[in-house]
Amino acid sequence: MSNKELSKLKKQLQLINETVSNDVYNLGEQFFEKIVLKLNKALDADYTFIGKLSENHNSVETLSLVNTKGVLENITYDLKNTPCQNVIGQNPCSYLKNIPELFPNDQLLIDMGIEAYVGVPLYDSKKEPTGILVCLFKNEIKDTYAIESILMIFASRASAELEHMKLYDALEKHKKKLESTVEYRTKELNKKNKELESSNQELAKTLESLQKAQIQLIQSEKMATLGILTSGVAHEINNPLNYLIGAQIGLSNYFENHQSLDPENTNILLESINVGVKRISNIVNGLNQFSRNNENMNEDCDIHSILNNCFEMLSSISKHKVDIIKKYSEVTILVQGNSGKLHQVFLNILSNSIQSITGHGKIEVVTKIKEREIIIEIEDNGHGIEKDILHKISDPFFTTKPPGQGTGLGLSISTSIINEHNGALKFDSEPNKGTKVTINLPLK
Amino acid sequence: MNNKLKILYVDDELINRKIFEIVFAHKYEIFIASDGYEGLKILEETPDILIIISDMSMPGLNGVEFIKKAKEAYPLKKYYMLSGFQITPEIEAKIEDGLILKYFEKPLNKKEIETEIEKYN
Repeated sequence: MSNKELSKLKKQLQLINETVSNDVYNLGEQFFEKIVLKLNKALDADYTFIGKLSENHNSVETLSLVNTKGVLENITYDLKNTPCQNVIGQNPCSYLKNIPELFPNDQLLIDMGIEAYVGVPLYDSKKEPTGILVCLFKNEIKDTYAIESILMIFASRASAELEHMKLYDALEKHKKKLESTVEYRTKELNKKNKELESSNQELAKTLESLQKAQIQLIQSEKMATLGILTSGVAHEINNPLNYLIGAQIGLSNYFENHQSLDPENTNILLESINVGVKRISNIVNGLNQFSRNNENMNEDCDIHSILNNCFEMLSSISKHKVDIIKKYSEVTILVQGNSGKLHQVFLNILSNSIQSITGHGKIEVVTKIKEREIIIEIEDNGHGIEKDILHKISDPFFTTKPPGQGTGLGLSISTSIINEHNGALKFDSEPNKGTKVTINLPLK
Repeated sequence: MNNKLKILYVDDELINRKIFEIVFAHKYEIFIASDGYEGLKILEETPDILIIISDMSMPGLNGVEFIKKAKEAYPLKKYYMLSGFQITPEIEAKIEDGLILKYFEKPLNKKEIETEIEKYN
């Protein structure tokens, strides 16, 4: 064996050593490049490359292509009419010389000036062809056995790497797909969640307004029933009152014509009947006003008589407990609106005032006209309203009364009635001192 | 023969009729009827009744129905109502279209009624 051959063999052995050493295993993407560079040098080849077979098995894409000077740009070439066609999926194949004559249609090899060829196929673990490892020579070569053997050693290693790469790619792709699927699903889920949330909110709102409507319906149903009831009751009371007043007139006439034996007392008695009838008649009238169920906003409403009616109706709960101080303006105050509804407002405010008074107290009612505006002030010295709830007292359903004792709708309805009359309702209150309600209404 | 103004009062309640008679008899000649049909019969028999005052709620013809029939036959007479019901939009409309001159509410107010009737005495 010549010195030259010996050094060549040494070089090849060194290469094998390096390849199986751990270093190369960790090269990752650079693996092919390193291997191909080393093979090209060790085997004295002019070009060396590792190629990957396309999925349709028609072409090869180089993963690493080098010449004696270094790394070249990767290329893709058709397998047809090339020596590689005889290698891929088959056995190692070598041509010592005459490549241009043997493959006259492989223009690429002819252009590169290739004379000799050694190629080995790459297979994956399932024995499927995956690529090729090739050395190209510009001059004819003597022996292919050693080159083929060495290429074979590297081929199995490259195959494994290729397969690994492929699996890794697939895994990456799969991972990405999974990620995007998860992202998409998460987005969908979030969207659905939001939709659900907003429809939930809508549902809650609907429920609330439904409850409101229901209570208002019950309230107006009550008022309507009360209206029918009171108008019937009023009629039934007014007729016997007619008897009484008629009898009183009749008796008065009688005593006028026939001289009473005790005129002082009979006059008082006759007048008592008169006053009593008038008072009952006022109460009945008040009830009627209050429960009249119409939406007419064109009635002339006499604020003083409405207030008086309300006091009359509330006299059973205010008598002996509350001093009513009326400071009415001297002139009659007329408001255009709905008399029944205004009765409802004052009845509500006055009964709140009366209920706020424990023990003995007073309610002062002032009415006055300022320019084109009517101001009605109702002031009590009851327990007052705490500051932190004062802004809430007109909210529907807000009540400080125990469950079942107040709907919490009184002031809410009152506010909307005053608004309907183009007026304003204001509350000033100090705990333990009392509350002042101010109502502004436009003068008729 | 007296020259007192003749008034027909229609009410289904006996006491109301008696009361009306006692209250107004010294000043006017009162005719009473317990329902609309009787009222129409009296009007036929006594042509010189000028004032008619009727209750509203009665069996048979109600006040408005009775006055409508009466007014068709005797359009120049003066028609009033006296009722325990508060004035309703329906009644208000009748006043507006001239069927009823005035609506008195029970318990009756003698002065109010007399003032109105005196316009025709």
